[in-house]
Amino acid sequence: MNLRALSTCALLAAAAPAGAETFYACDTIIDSVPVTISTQGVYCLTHDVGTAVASGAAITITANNVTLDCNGYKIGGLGAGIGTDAYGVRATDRLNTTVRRCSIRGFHRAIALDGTHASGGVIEDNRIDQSRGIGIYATGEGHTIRRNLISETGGDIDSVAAGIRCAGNLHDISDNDIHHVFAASASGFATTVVGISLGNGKGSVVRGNRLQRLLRGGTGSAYGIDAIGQQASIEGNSLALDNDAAAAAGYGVWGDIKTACRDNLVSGWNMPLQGCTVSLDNVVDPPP
Amino acid sequence: MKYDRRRALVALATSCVFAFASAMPARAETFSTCNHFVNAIPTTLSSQGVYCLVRDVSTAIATGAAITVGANNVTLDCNGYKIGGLGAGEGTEAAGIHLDASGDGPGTNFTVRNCTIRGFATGLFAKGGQGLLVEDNRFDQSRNKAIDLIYPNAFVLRRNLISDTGGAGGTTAIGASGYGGDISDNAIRNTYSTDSSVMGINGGNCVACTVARNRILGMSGTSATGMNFSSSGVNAKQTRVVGNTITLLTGAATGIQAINVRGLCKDNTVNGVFSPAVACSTQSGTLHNP
Repeated sequence: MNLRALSTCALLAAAAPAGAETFYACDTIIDSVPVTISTQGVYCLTHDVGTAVASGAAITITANNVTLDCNGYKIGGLGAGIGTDAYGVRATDRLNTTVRRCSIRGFHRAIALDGTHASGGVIEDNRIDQSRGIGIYATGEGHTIRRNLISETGGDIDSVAAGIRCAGNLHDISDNDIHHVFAASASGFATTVVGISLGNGKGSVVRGNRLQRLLRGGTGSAYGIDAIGQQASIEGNSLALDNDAAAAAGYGVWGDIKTACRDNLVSGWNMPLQGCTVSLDNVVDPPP
Repeated sequence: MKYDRRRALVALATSCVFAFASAMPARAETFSTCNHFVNAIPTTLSSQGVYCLVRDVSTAIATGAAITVGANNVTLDCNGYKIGGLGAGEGTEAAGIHLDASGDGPGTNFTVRNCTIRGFATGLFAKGGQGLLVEDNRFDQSRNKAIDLIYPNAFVLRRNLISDTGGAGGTTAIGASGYGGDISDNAIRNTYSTDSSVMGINGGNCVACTVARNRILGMSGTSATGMNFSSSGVNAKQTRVVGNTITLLTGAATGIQAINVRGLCKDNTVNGVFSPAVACSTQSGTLHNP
């Protein structure tokens, strides 16, 4: 096929979906941000969108039963700079919010399902990059957070950087990859980092996640999975600090009241498992 | 010259077809591969093929079913859209999806995926037949059972998210009797009854089934059981229960009950006050966090 024929083919192909995307299954296409979604339904991206807002959110969801499917496209916020306070996607006190297949870059918090009445959210298959404070933030009850790739989280000097931070009960946090959570400074509040934090909730499951390169600042601490709360199950996760012997403060898994820890692989911490009420078959690799 | 141009066009068209074929969706989001569209309910899927939703659909029927499977070899792909039944209220007796393949009835090789099924007495009811595949669905606010299987052969229930199942009367998130089933990677949250008992998964009479890596989080009722594989009927024989997690926030419950049957339970975790935590004829690796 010559170049002209290839070009013709490419033009024709541009009219069809490029992969396993859901353009055909969308109620509404989002062409630009910031935007507010106030009616339930399925919303999609068909191209990258970006904003330089430094507060508020690129996409604000104010209705229940909303699905946002980005089809792999990006919601960009790098333009606001490292001091941004903006959210990528935020739904406060909403039910059954789904956010999937989004690439969300450069916000303070990439995805937030927050408020005490938020429930039944699903956050899956997203790529979250360069969040300045928190990759995924979820409060309320019963959210499912799975198969997300969260990388390069940190930079805000007023925040404890966290890959995933939750509060509330009965969350299911599974099969996520969290790479490189780093402290913004060598002194002060922002010296501590955490991979996954459960807050003060009850009964959540943290299973099969992979956390790598958690880098504290100065004399701060690095927590792999912070399971403050009750009756958490921490199962089959793989955790590794940054390759830095000095970064051994904190805990790999920090359980609290009635925490069950099993089948975890914890590498690099002086205190790999702390506060697990019951434990079985965890494997610990000490610091170098 | 004309002939060469025509041949070149044919070649171009053929090349484009192959190029498109690799770029088209591989499955689901299956508008491009749908044979039929479901635009309104109640409806019956009366011939084999792939059926898709292109929007949310709802009904207020209080009996019968929103979607009845009336043929073999049917696939229903909702593309994430909702089959809604909340309009019938909490006293509904309707099913979201119904198939009866017992005897010579239709429904063998039925697949349902990517559906949100909300507000029915039973989300999915299936009786008899074989080759049932239920995957990647969301069952929400089912009043009695999210999934109710009565003796199908060779069924797979996987990666479903089942939430807020219950109301008045006995409640079970997944009821699965049958032969050769695989119940894996389902997440079941908040199964409740205001006045009766509750179960996460009831596999009494589930023969040669695998129940693996499911999470049951939160149950409340007059009594609660995470998983049951004992019954007075056929009984669950040769069932393997592996790597499941059950969490109870309040009250007391039975964790995994598989006494008087040849069950194998391995690497299960139960959090909360359970008595017993796991009762299997063969078991290892149980972690009980009372």
